[in-house]
Amino acid sequence: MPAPEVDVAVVGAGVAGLAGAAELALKARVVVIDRLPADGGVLGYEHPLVRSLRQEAVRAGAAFKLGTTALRWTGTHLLLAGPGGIGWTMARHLVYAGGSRPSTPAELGIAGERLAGVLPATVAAHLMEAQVRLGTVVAVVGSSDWGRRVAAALAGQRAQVIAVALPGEAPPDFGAERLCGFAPLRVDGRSRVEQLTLSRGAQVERIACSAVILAARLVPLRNVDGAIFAGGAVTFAQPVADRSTADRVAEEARQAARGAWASMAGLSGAV
Amino acid sequence: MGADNPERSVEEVDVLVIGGGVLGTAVAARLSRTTASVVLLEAEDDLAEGASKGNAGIATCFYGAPGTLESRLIAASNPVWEDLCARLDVPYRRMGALMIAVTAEQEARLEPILEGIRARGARAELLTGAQARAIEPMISDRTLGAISLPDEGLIDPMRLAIGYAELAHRNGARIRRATPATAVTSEGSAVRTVRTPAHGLAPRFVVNAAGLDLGRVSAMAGGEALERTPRQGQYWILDREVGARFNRIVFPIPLEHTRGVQVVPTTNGSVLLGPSAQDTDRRDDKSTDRETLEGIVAQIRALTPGLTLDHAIKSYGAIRPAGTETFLARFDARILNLIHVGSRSAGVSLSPALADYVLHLLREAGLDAPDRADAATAVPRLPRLLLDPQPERLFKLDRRYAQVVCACEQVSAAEIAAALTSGVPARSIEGIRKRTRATGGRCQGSVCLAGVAFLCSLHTGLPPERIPYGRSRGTLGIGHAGS
Repeated sequence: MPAPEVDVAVVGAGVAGLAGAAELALKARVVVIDRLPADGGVLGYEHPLVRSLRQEAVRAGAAFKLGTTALRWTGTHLLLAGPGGIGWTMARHLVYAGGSRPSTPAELGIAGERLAGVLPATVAAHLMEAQVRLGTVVAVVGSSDWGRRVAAALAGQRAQVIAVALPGEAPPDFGAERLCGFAPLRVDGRSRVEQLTLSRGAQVERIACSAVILAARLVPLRNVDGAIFAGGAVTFAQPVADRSTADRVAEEARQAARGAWASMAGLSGAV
Repeated sequence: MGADNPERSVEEVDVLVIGGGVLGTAVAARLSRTTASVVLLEAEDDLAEGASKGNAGIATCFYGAPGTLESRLIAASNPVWEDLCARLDVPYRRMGALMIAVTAEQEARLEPILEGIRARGARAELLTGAQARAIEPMISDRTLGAISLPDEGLIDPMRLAIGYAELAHRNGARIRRATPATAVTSEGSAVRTVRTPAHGLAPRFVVNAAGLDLGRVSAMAGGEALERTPRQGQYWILDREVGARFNRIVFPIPLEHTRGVQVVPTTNGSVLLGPSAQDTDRRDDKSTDRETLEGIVAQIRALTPGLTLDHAIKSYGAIRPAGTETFLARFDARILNLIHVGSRSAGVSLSPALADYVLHLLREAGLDAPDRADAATAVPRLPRLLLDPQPERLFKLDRRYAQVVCACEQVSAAEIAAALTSGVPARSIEGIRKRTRATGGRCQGSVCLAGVAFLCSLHTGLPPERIPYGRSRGTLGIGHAGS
């Protein structure tokens, strides 16, 4: 069976992906793909902007493949795995709108071994939804929206939150204790994290804690092979969304989509 | 009444292997194909928790002084990798290596090094700088000359230990994890019983493959003083798309006591930079420090100036067991039914031939254990979504292949379920990572770790908060929020 063909595959059905699809579907055959079975990304499918963008994209003719993970992009074909199976879709261009994630320990330069209790905010949020208590005293590194969200859930578990804003980050507006301008240096512990070491210039602080949640320095989440680096038939629509409004994310994604369309038109010689 | 009597609760076994690293599991796998009864004890919760986990994953074709047993076992192991890894379902790639000289002093050492490598029975060829750059464009413009080593290979060392253990299990060997040897009783010149927290064992022979604990096990048995000292190495891991730029492993000219910091593509496509080499007094020192990690990068720049940390996934520290005797495969001088096996740097690379050699030693010492005609020589191969040449067909085998749990490493629910239900199954997030790579990719579990935990919970019956995260029984949570 030949691979189904579209003009643009949009990976990610959050605000950015939906806005990009709405923009492109007026001119091109578009399919929107998301690994989750519902659209909306971090905002959720009931958010008013998500609703209106979805409606716009559907009216413009975009097709949806939800609950489907995009795995590999060859420049002409995209490998998808979803409820109907595993297979290739042909596309002329890929718009990658995979959202963002907090930086990993390596990206933050945190030394120390892989310890229980050191978790990305994304994972911490999921685990707390499943009623997992993460710690009694919890350091939340990063004053981002993810930090705020995790701190609220931790407060619900009656954990004591120590908020740590990195150099250059806004002061945290959450946490029983708040530290500003500290860089995390290392985590220590035997089977579970027991201590987080921070530094600010010559000043070194050691925080005793039973969990460290990483919510700092959002970076674009990229996990489709062949669409990790710029270049080729890929456009990235991943405004790092922290503290910017959803409307702005949508607008930036529309701009990225227009850029994608221009590059496609340029390549094919059509307008 | 029986339980109160230690004599009654002792289990007789032909060969007891202590240590579930790559050497212990290799020996157990080989012995399991004979008529001998085999028990393997591993103190940690899972196999491959020591040096077998934290190494560069090179199946080398040369190591040790020419003519030594170590060097001969490496030479004997090298030709078998393709066949062995196909049978044990272990990723392996005979990728080849380039050892490059970037200074005049280093260039002057190429010829003698070449001769030394050939004396160990390995194939090696001298290249000019231009020839080397033509086949490996990422290396330095300053490359003056190089040695090409076509038989150098890449292997997943954790999957190797697990593959050996799975084969041993299939053939009836009893693989007991989280089961340290706590006491050994020797009478005269022989070990009689070995105690664990739950069992007593009466082995005819003991193979001590305890890695860093080699000396402790020998001391418990009344054997020789064999001190193993921890040597720490740190590594960087770079993204799979960086790995695609390399065709070979890139070595520097080795120093006297170490092979130096290397660029090592891995079987999963990522690239390792390292290791550093520091003797330490902390046997559990898996930490990293910025100074060492920056030093690794500085050394790598001399080899491959274009490589940056822009796509670094993580850094980690690992321990390898050093000691005055860097390699052992021999009977104890005092305890005549105790064999010590250990290797500081080449355990993976010599494990296949070492297993044959240990069986030979045991038979010479009177173990009457012919090979069984009906023994399994392979474990079932599990197709992997990331590596399968035709991923489309996997859905027909198992619909769970279409449920991608870890998108970075392209690991499906089918592969995670297999890791949780195999003969020697994963019991922790780390165990799943070792068997499938899930949570070990670009985002380091930011997206999938909770999902992996829920699948683990489903298969083990433990609530998510009690799922072990890594070693030493640290769990994901500290309790249930409702209680």
